[in-house]
Amino acid sequence: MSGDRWFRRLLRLLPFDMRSDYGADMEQVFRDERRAAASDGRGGTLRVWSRAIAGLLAVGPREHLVQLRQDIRYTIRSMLRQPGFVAISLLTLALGIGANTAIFNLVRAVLLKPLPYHEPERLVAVWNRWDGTDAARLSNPEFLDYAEKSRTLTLAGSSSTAVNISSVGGEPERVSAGLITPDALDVIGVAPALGRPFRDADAQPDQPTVTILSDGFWRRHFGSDPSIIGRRIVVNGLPTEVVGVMPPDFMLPIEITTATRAELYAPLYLDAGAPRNRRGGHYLVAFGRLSAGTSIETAASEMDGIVARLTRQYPDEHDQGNFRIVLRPLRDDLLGDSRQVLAILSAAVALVLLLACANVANLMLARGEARRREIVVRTALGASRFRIIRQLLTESCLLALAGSAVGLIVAHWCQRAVLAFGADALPRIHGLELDRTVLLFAATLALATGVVFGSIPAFQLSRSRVTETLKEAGRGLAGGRAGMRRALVICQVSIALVLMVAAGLLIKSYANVTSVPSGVNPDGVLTMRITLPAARYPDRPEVSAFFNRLVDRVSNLPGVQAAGAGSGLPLAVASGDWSFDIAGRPRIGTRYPGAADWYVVTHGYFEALRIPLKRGRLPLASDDAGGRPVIFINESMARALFAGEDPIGRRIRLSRSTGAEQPWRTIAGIVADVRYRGLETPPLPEMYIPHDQFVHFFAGVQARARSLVVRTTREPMALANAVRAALRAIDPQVPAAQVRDMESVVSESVSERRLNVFLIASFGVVSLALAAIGLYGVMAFSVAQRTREFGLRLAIGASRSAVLSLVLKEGVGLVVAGAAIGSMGALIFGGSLAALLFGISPRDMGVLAGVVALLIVIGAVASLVPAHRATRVDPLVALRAD
Amino acid sequence: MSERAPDALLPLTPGMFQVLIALADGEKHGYAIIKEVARRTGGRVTLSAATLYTIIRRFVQEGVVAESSERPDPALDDERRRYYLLTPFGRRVARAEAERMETALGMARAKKLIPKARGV
Repeated sequence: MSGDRWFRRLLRLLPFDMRSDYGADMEQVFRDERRAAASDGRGGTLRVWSRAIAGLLAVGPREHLVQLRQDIRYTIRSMLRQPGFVAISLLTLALGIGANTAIFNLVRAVLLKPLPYHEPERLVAVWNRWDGTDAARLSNPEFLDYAEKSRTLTLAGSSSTAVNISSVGGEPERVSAGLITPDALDVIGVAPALGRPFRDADAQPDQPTVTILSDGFWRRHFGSDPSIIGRRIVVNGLPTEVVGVMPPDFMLPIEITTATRAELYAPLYLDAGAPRNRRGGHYLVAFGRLSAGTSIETAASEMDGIVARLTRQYPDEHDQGNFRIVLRPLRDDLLGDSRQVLAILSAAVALVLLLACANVANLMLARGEARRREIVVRTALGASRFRIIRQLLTESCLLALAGSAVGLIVAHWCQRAVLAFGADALPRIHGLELDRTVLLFAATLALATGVVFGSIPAFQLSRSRVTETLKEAGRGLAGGRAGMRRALVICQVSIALVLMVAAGLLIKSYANVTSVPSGVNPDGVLTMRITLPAARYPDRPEVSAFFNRLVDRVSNLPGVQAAGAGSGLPLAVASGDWSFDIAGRPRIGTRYPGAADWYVVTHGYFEALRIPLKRGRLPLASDDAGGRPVIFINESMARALFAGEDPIGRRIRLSRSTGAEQPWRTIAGIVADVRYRGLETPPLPEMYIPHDQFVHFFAGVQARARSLVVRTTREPMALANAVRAALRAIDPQVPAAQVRDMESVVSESVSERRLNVFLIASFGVVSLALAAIGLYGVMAFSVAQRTREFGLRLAIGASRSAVLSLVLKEGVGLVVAGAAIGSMGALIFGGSLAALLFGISPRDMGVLAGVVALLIVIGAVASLVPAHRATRVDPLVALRAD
Repeated sequence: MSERAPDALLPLTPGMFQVLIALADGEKHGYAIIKEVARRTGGRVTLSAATLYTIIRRFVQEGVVAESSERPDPALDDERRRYYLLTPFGRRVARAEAERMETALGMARAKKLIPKARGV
């Protein structure tokens, strides 16, 4: 008996209708054969079984293929007869599948691809934290202490800088460079493609004498010449030996989250012998490799122990609230922020696809009505219901596959748009391309889509009854099927509403963000970043002299109203904060009474950016090294530290930290707040130090890099060459970088937001168009089906406007129903959008009402043409047609 | 359906031809066809159930074979079995295949690949 059951199971290898037609017969034959072979004992049974199995294995796949071939041939023939239907369906599916493919590729590039390191799951990011700062960089002594004391982590430190390369072309070039502790490449487990990694001996207290080139730099400047190893190039004015070339696509962890790629790498020198009690200067981005078999929790608890010991050793330096070391998986640390944006985009794009499915399902249903007779005839000729369903699903899958082929073009555009709109908005999206995995994804998605949108019409149509349909003879629309089509339109409208509301909220947020005053007037301002090489500008006097000459020279160019330079640049380059004493206010314990972001500025800086003076005066050329030390503060700092007092004339002294003793400085002026950290971050307390009076607190980039800002009456970029010439006249070895107008700085600061807005708004518009097409289709069909009814109404005296409003009401009714469901969806979905919104509630009623109104208008327009057609029905023709 | 030329289905596979031969002298159910084919060919053609019903399905679709509506002697009949018979079109197909083979045989004889026919 169980033999029969097994055989019945094996029969599933055959196509369904063959099984249902002949399965019982085959079982009977199998029983007969076994009975006959019973006398031959085990050998006979074995023979019967092997023949049965071999037969099924040979026949099953072949029969499936035969059917598929028939179905495909049939589908292609029937589609060629309906080019309009095919074109609209293809376009709809191409939009849905293409957009999904593009977003999938984005998600894959950003989140799914493993980090390009050896055993990346063992890599962790290492940050300091204290109250108010979740992830602070490490200072030299901190890094050295952690690295020396930890048994579970091998630590590496990195930082980025810009260097001037002068030996390659004629013009000096300023390029981005990665500074790494000598063993950093070992820690991430990537070896140079050519040459050797850094050794401990490579790290020198002064300018590094060796470098490793990036693959791109090596290709561009040395034509991939392998004999580059051992040659010298001039970096920051000093000859530097090339010891290695990294493999293509290599990136340090710090490069992954930024748009700028390092062109070369240099060893970072940390003086292990220096006193460890000056623990300021947080600039190192640290990462580490967990020793084999160690969990991140174990390493973290070891770090807690290390911090506890260090806090006892340096109580003054660890008095920030709850100082700790935080370990985070490197992957989460680098890519965590992108997850939310991509999740929202994926959800939105999935909704677009769902809508596209509903649309095509609807088209297929409409087409199915016309094909009902054909299907019934096939049924009558003996095709099983399963066969019909299979045929219809083959059609939809074929349509979806063709749609996904066209969709690849859409995906390609979509990707180009993403790169154009926000190449620096998401990490790791450079070099995004449509590869085999993406093609596979698109094909799989197409098949899944085909099944989803094909199954509704397939099951509906396969239920057709012969007699019923032939009697109906295309007269009325059977209730159930019309209901299904209306339900689909309602779904479409509700999905479109959700997407449109999301788009509306993001557009509104974008408008809110961009209307935030940055504190500067960007019109007519040219800016560029200039970094002086340490070799020829070792200290303050040389740096000061250079920028004073530059500012003077640029100020005198024709068309220039004001020029200045600053260590920061609003919306682009922000500093960290610096603690200070305030005269007359004692420290509380070891805590300084104040801290603020700090910028070094020349005179002319505020005038060039039109940062308004609120009280006192602006920096003057006379605020030089010989003058009385002064400082300028912003309104937020005045409010935070001198509420109810007049800050002008009060004195502050910056903390010493690692550097030289600082003088007491008198507050000479209060200026308006400026947003250095982006439009969305409220202004912090900020202070400005005249650059002739600046005393290095840490010999980093801040000491020698300035943003030049030039206000002109002309088009800013038209002035760029004149400014470059002025720069060359002072020092031909110093290049200008990031030459752009201030408007672009503002625009780049909102690039991620602009990308989100662009994508979600595009999805919204596509969804609106699809919903409108869907509604139009249903209404047009409904009107066509009811020709007779309208004819009758007109014949018995209904006015044309009554008929018009009858149809319009039906269309708008569907929209209102969809909008009601969609509004609920939007109110629920809205919450998950909160993180991307600015200055607007996720449940903003204004946006919701606006979108509902828009949908109703579009719904009315989409119904208007069919409604108009209904009023043109000639009663005589309509009645006679029956 | 019978307007179609029987040649359109040719050539038949050995299995197909043997099924037609088996049905030439009257209707049979599946197992009977398999037994007859095996017996007649001395076991050289053994049809599995799946192969047999693939052939029957195709033949039914093409109108070569039909399911018998009459049952043989009720005493011999088994309710669960379906019987198949050759349609007139099927008979023409079988004849056409036999003639095709005969022509081929004739050619082989003319070229002395095989000896002359004995009695025919």
